[in-house]
Amino acid sequence: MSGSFLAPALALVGEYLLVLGLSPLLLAVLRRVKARTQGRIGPPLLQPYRDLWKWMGKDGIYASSASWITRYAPAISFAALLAAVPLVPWFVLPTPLGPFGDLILLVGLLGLSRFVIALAALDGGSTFGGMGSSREMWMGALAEPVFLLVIFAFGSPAGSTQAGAIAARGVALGIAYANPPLLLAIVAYVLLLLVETGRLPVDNPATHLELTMVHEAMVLEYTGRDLALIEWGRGFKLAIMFGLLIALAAPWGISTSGTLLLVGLAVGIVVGKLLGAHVLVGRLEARVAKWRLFRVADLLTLAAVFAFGSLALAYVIGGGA
Amino acid sequence: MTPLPVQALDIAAAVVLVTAWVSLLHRRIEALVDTYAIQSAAVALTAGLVAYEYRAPDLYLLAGLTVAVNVVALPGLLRRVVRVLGVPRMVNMYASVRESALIGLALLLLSVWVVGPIAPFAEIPSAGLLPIAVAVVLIGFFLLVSRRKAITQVVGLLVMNNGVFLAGIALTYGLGLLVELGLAANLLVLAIVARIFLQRMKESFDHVDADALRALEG
Repeated sequence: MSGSFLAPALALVGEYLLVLGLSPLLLAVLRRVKARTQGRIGPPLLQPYRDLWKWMGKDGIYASSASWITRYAPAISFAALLAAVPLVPWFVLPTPLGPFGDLILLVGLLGLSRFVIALAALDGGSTFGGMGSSREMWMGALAEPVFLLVIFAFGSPAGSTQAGAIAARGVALGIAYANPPLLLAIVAYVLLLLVETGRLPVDNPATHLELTMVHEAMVLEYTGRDLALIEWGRGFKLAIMFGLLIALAAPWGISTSGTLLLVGLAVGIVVGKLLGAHVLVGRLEARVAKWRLFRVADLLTLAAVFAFGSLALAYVIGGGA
Repeated sequence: MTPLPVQALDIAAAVVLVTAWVSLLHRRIEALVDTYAIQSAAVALTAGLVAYEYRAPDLYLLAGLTVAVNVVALPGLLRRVVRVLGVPRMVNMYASVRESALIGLALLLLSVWVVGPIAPFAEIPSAGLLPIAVAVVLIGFFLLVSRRKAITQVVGLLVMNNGVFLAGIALTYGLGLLVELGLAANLLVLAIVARIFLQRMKESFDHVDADALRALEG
């Protein structure tokens, strides 16, 4: 990457195009895989784009009891997620914005996005909203410290909480980057990812059954543009979480040079990895049933235990080698 | 830089550790047995990798034996026991899932703390596996003492055995073919005895809850 201003700016635009443009498609692939595994045909791959387009053309409708919080929450939540995108190394290293924020900031931004939606769900005054936000915040309060622990597990060998620095170390080490602590950290991250993005054993994104919904209960009041922002944001939050997993667990293929060809190749590789990750989650979702709410604590305990174990092993191996 | 097979060995050992941990969480016996089969496959892989790296052909035989006995025969036997005896499929435990996971972590930390400082003195690249192997043994032991059904206790014993095997591979490149052969044969015999024992238990008491045996103490 030369010292010019142009290349990082282009890379940044590219990242946003990739994440914002592709995440509905990735979500559609996930749904398609899930449907196929269950013997259904599933919605067409362009359906999420059509939904977003339809919603974009409609105004929001607000309850008479709702305040300004309900109006602004989707935009704030979306903006927080937008700000999180450049924190993840997608296809070029160093990350276009450089060291402007680390993964702790990312956890904070995801927390902010979750918080405003939970607040908005309470604002409308409906029963479901209160129920949904209560569940969501309970999970969030448990998930956030575990998320930080997982980040420390990934970051401690690199001595940094910058995703860019961690991924750069992985790319430099090549295959030698893979070791037992990394494996434990990956397992912890995947468990956490299911909770953080509300995928199946934790929350069923396809249900509107009042007893079980978590995220859906919170956004029940939204229509039109606001719903579009929420659904789109949710789609690329999934992409962000997967992108981070890819950057931390298997960063090979991220381009460290500025040549156009290599960057193009890196884009192709990261899209392939994202597709693979979505397909895997789709298959997982087709097979598991939703868990009882309070078993989520078990899942997170396990994630915390794996992350902690990873740190312990890293200590031994670091001391031994 | 460590050679590639040694690194692969580390990863395989980590899989053994992860599966030992996961086996603490299962509530259904079939899932527990499946996890054990995966763990044994990872153990067999470590044996194969060691055989490749250190040109020890007898270890290939051992790896094959592990696949035959620990991956295919024993899990098959256990599944049959569950099916034939109609054991209720839930794993009864003394500790909750969350407590088990945390105790598993404590056991790992213990072995890292105690064994970790010793491992570098063994002048073999794979000695880093030793804390993992000891942790697997301890977790297997915990599985053995914290579960109530006789059949899950058998699985605990088998997990312990996998840990011992891993430690043997890590430190001595196999305990010697003859010892391993004897061990494998013993395991099979043990499983068969356990099966017969469970059958008798089922016939006599109509259940296989080892906890209820205490009632005989009077």
